Amino acid sequence: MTLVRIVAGTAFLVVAAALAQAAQEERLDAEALYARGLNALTAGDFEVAAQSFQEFATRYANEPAMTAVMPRVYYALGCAWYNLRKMEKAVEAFEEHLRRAPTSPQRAEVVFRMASAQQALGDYGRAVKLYNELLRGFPEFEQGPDARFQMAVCYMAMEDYTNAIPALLWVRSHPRARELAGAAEALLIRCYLQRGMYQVALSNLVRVVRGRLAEDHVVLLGLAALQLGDYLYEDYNYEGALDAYRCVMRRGEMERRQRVRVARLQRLRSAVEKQSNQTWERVSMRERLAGLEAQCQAELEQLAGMPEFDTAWLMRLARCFYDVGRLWEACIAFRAVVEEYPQSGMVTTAHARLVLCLAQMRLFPTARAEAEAFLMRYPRAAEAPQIAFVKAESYLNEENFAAAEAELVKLLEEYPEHPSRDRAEFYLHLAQALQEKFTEARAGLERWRQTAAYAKSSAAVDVAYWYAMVLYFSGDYTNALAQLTAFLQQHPESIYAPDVLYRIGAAHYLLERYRDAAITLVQFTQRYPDHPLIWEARMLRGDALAALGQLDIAIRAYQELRPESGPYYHYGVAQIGKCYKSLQNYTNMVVLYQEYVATVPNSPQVVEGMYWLGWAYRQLGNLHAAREAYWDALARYGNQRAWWGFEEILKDLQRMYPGSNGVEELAQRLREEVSVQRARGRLTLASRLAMAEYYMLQRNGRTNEAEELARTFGARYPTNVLGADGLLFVARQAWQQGRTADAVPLFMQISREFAASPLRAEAELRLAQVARQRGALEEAARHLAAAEAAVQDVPTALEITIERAEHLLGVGEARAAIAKFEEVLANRAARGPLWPRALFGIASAYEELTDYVKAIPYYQRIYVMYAGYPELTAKAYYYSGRCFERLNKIQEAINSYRELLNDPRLEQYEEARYARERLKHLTGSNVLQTGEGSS
Amino acid sequence: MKAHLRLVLLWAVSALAAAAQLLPMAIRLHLKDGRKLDCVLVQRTAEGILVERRVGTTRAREPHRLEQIDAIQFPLPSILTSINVRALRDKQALEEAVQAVEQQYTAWQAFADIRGNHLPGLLRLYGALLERQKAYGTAARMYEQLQRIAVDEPTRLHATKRLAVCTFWTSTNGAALVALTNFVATAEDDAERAEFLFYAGVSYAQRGEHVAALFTLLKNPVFYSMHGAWEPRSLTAALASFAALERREEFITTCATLTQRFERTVWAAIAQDRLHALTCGTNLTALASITNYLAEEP
Repeated sequence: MTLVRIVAGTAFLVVAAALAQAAQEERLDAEALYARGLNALTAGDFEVAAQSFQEFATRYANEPAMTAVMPRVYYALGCAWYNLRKMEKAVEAFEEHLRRAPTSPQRAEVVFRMASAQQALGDYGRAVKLYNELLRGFPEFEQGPDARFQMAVCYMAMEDYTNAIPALLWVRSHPRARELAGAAEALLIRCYLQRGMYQVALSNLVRVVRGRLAEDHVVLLGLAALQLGDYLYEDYNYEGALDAYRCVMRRGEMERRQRVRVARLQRLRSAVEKQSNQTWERVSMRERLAGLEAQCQAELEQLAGMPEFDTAWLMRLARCFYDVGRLWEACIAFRAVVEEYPQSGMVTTAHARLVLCLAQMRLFPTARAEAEAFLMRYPRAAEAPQIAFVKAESYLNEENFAAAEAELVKLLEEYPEHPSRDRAEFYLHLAQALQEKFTEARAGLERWRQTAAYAKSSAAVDVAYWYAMVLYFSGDYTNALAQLTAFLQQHPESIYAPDVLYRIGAAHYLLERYRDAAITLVQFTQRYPDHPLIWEARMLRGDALAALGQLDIAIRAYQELRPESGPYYHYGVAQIGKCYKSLQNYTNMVVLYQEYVATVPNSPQVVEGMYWLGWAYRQLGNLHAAREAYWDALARYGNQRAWWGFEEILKDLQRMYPGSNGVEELAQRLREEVSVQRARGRLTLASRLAMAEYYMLQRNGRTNEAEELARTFGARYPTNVLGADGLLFVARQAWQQGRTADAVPLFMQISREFAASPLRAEAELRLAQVARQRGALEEAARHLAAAEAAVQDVPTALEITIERAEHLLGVGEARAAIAKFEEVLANRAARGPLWPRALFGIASAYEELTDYVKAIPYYQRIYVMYAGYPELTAKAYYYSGRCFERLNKIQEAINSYRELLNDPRLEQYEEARYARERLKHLTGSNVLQTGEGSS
Repeated sequence: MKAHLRLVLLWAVSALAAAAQLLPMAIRLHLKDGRKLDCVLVQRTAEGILVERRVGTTRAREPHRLEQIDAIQFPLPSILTSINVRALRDKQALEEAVQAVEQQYTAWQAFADIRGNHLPGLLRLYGALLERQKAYGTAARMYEQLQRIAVDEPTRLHATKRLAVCTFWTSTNGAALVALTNFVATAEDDAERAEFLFYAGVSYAQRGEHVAALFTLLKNPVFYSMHGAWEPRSLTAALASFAALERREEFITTCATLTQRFERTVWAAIAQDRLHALTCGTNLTALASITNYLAEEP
């Protein structure tokens, strides 16, 4: 049905019939007028059409002869006004049409147009009424879905969302309304939002966005999503807010899509306009398209007026992720603001929050890099002091205390009025304390405590605690004790209180006030049984009681160190063992170690336990049980390649086979056991037994047999079956024979494969020595540190100390080297060449410091007291001579060189040649004369 | 030499035989002399083609040598529009589609030397189907060929991108990372960007760069949650890096997100499984292998 067909096909005939009865002249006028209007309407010239039909109506409205034709005229007139968007006139004409022809065949269309016109005029109430009338009266009307959709739009315009929702739900789901479904989806979300039905709005929003159900309405949806997110956030529904925010697109993307849509709408409208046959539906569609276009343009303008849309959205997104604890995602959103919108007004805040977020995530290097970028870009920003603080603090959190100290010093200089100055100063002194710069830390913390402005600082408690700790760790236990006690009185509820109580106990112990230590530590263990220091406290209490001689109570204290305490349990058992040993209670000692072996059968420490078990049996005179305990230990654990401690057992075992018969019996059993274990493929155990036989033969003067055994040892036991002890056995042989190249790979294998073994210390020491000799000081330092960490026996520890001192000397730290050499001299356990080596080292260090006066007596002590070490003696003579020369004491120098050259034992050393050269240089002759007196 | 000739001959025979299934085919023939002929292609010969066309009231057959032909407008193979790779429901449908495309591809190879053939479209479809079959090595070969024969830049770029994806799936050391990262920056739309973010993120994880992996993978939950399954896939992959970094709290939070937001999916199942393992005392670092987090919805 078209407008032309309606008017031309039906009305024109009616008009012609009516006019046949009228006067000729009038008829001609009416006909012409009508035809003009009709032609104009057909041609789309609605002005002329409206004018013609209006004139017709004015002339003939009340003409009885025209009664039949007038409804058609008013219909055409209404259409013309409607198309000219003269809606009031259109409504009037349509109303007149319906009044004159209540059963008009165009009634549905006219009502629809009247409703549209009222909607355009902003009279939504009347529009709704008309749409309702239309839908009730003409349920199958072709434009019914559009009518229902427009009715919903009118309801929304009246803010009557309750009625809008069912209309939109109908449009969304009705098959006839497929084209409007997307728009209905978008408007529904808006309705739910306005009605406060946030969850329904959210589920619809997510469904629509994910399903791409309203691709043409991205701006509407984007703005609704942002608003919905804000509502949900205010309701503390952060997850919901996140879902809503994540339905938002970036402004650029929305604009791009919206422009595509506008272009499409324009193309459609243009195509409709170009069609010659302008039916009312087409005109209506054109109107709708123009309306949509205008709406899209308006939305584009709205977006253009929101330059901070993206940043506002990203900040909301970031805040929300932060609030739900998803900091990685929060960082991503903050970083998007920083990187993509550097001109935004929010970029400073976003960047600052990014730094804080990264620091909170403990991504310290990244946080620092961002902090540096922030401070470079916005040095005057309000957040700058805080960001600088976070940067400094990050070093502290990374335990890079030196860098933290430097950064905090810089911070305090750059921001003298820093709002967190109290905390920054505290951190500075904390960083010093944690670097063991106790003097600076102590002075700094004292200054802090005296600063009146910090009296009410939130850091005051931390400062009080750390001040006491600085005193404690710097060895000033007396003052530490006073501060710790005062702290506990002032801050009994502080989180530091348990630790402080423990430290009080420990300070008492270190001050040898064992009774007070025991009392304090028992308080601690009773009050804080779950404290991380509980095992240490129980151990220390046992030690305090043992020191008081209260061995029975000490044993009970040690017994509190249960197996779950790990290393403390082993220590506790060893200490209880010592107590029983002191009490000569070997029976209990046997019971103790039997239980111990049963409790930790898979621990390498059990070997030591077995040793003490056998030892205790021996004290009880039960030699058989002692022997069997040892053999049992060897059989059960001796093939454990990674374990150690068998040397002690094997040595003690030899003592249990006294006399020549015993030696033979043991040798026989060792040989038998070696055969048995080799046959069983237990080569590690066999190697250990073979080593025991070697040492036994050595001790009993059967050197040839021992050497033969050592010679075949390497071939019988490949390195992959040898434990650290076996490898060390082979390596020592090579080392002693000067086959360093053979020894080094074995030491390296020990270092690599036996990280937990104390035997690793010797291997690392040798590797350090080799590295130092070839000038690889860094490598040497690494091995030395490993040796120091692994060592458990005193002789090796002393040798490591010597090596450490020599290493320090090598890197130019002469004073530190002297201190280390003196440690060796102070130790009575240092035997053999260690003392002369230490003396020589000290002398060399003083020489390095050009303090020749102090160097000479150390050299002299070597050749006076340790002449049994000719190589060192030769060196001592020569270097003392050099020192005399440097002091310009030429005669003394000559005397030293002569003494060296007079000793025939020293002739073989290169120092003798040097001395001869120096002597010739000083005296002009190489004649040896006895000096007038030695220097 | 003889053997080579025999091979060439064999190829020619088999290709020509395969081409027969496409014939006869209505074409528009563009000759180098400027003529355009609407005709029916009836045979592919070793020298060129044989067409049949109406001359006056009769139909005549005429041969055209290759060197005379500028291009041919072939009809679009229906297979290119009838197969929707994403919509294939099951393994059998996928296999049938692969076979069909394979046949077409083989047949069209007979026209590889004629401009206007549909080999690029077929290769593109073939590659996509092979990817869906997880036959990434074969798919990579198809894309390499597509790169070689593509006549336009978008097709070449598409081939390059999919080749990077295939490299991603066939390597375990993040070999395609650089290419994938570039594609994130030059992606055509958000869905493609989300896909490449996932691959790039996993590549970082494969290289042990877990912080970069997380900052890449987690862009998907932040910005592209509405684009398919990339959010749960990325969150699942992120679990590996959280485990490697011993980020227990984040690991648990992400598992919870997966189980709550993506209920009854393979990713929720993975998260549930890992949470269970963690609760039973499994060490977090033992859950750090990225290969255990790359499951896709069946």
